[in-house]
Amino acid sequence: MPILCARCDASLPEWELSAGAATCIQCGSPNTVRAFPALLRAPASAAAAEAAIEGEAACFDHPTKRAVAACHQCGRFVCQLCAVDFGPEVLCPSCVATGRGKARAANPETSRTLYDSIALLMPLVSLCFFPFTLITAPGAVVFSFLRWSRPLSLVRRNRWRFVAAIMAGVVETALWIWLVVYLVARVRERLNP
Amino acid sequence: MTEVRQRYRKLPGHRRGFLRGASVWLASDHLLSVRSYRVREEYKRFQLNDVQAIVVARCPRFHISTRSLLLALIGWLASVLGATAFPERTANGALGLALVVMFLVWAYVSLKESCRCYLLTAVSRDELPSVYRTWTARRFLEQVTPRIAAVQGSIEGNWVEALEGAAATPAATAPEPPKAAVPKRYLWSAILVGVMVASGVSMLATLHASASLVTGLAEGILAIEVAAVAGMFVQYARGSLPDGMRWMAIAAIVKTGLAYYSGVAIMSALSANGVAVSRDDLLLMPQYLLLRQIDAWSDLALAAVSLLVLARPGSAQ
Repeated sequence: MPILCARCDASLPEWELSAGAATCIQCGSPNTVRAFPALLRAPASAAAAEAAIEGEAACFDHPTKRAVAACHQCGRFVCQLCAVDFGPEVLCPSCVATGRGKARAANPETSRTLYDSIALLMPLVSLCFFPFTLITAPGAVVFSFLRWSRPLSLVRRNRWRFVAAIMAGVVETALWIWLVVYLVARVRERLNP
Repeated sequence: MTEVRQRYRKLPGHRRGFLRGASVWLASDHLLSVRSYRVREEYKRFQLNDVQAIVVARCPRFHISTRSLLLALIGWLASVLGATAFPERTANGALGLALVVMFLVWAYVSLKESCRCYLLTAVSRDELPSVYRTWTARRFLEQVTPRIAAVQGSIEGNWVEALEGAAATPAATAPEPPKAAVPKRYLWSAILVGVMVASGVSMLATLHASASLVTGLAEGILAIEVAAVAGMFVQYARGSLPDGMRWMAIAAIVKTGLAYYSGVAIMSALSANGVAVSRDDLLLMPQYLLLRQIDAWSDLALAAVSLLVLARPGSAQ
């Protein structure tokens, strides 16, 4: 596989690459290249499942192919083609697809919703249109408590956004209550001077 | 096997944008590329054992991080408020100059000290958006290379020859067909540069001119500038805009908007102080004069940076 320039996707000149740096002949950008042994590894050829002869265990999904292992999750026999190596264990494609039990780790999550960020944005963004804070401030507090135990970001480990959202929500709600009480008192003063 | 809760260590580089961000984290056996969209994060894992190469190329990256924008915003607010509160102080001019210097530093770093980083595996070639400054890339490579080498070992001898041998298989030798290059067009970019130069020079030349002349000039220049920026965006959509000029167009429009709102802020501040002035007097107020000087020098700086962008060897590709 040719090493491509990170700027213009042109192939880098191979005679320069062994030094770990190469100037692209198309765009002139200097490229730094760190190569690792995986680059020289031969690509894994498509596993060729062997045909099963009579009396041999056969693959659950391919009855004519010889089974080479049993799924560590469901126990189904799998052929060379179906066997999914996951660390020391072998899983079948359907277990990997469903991602249950032992196969869960083989199917890592690719995205997460950040409920703590949503909670924090609610009272802050609505400040731009402050009448909305009448709804979003208590909403942020309730939302924070409801989602408190939901998983956070994979890489962030604390819940300060939830705490900040609750504090902002409480402060804004308190301000609304104060405003309402103040207005009611003013009205009463006018009605009963 | 239960899911193992990984501990991640942050690697150098963090792209912070308004809506999007990116970072790379290191676990015991893989790299985690995180792309964040404010309320959502997307993850991509690269097993250390699978990483074939990391390629970093110098190229312009005109990213405005939220931190640098906050700094600029604070400086701009201080400049406007300072000019309004203390019109006679020359310190305000220095603050304006500092803002222009900050902008020039940002432009230099974006042009000359920026890069693009790709991570190569057998099945993918992914950009790492968080590694976009050269000093970050250096630190990133310093930290990641030993970790990958600890898992895979290092290549002995001339790996390029070995790679050529490995690539001599039918599947690997079929290169991707080259993309049809769209010829770059320079008309609108040249018009924008010309307009910015004209705007800067005319503003400096007409600092003490009558309101009608200043307003007429400004409106005419603004109309051409907006047309040029619109033309450049059409070119960008067609792929014929020279590299980097899209950001110059955005910068020009943002600068124009900032200058406009600064003027509005000054007028509002004067009105709030109960100062009623005519249009001619307003243009001669020290705050307004300072603002127009900053505006003019920003135009000239933008024009100079645009010329640099256009003159780069890669811009014609």
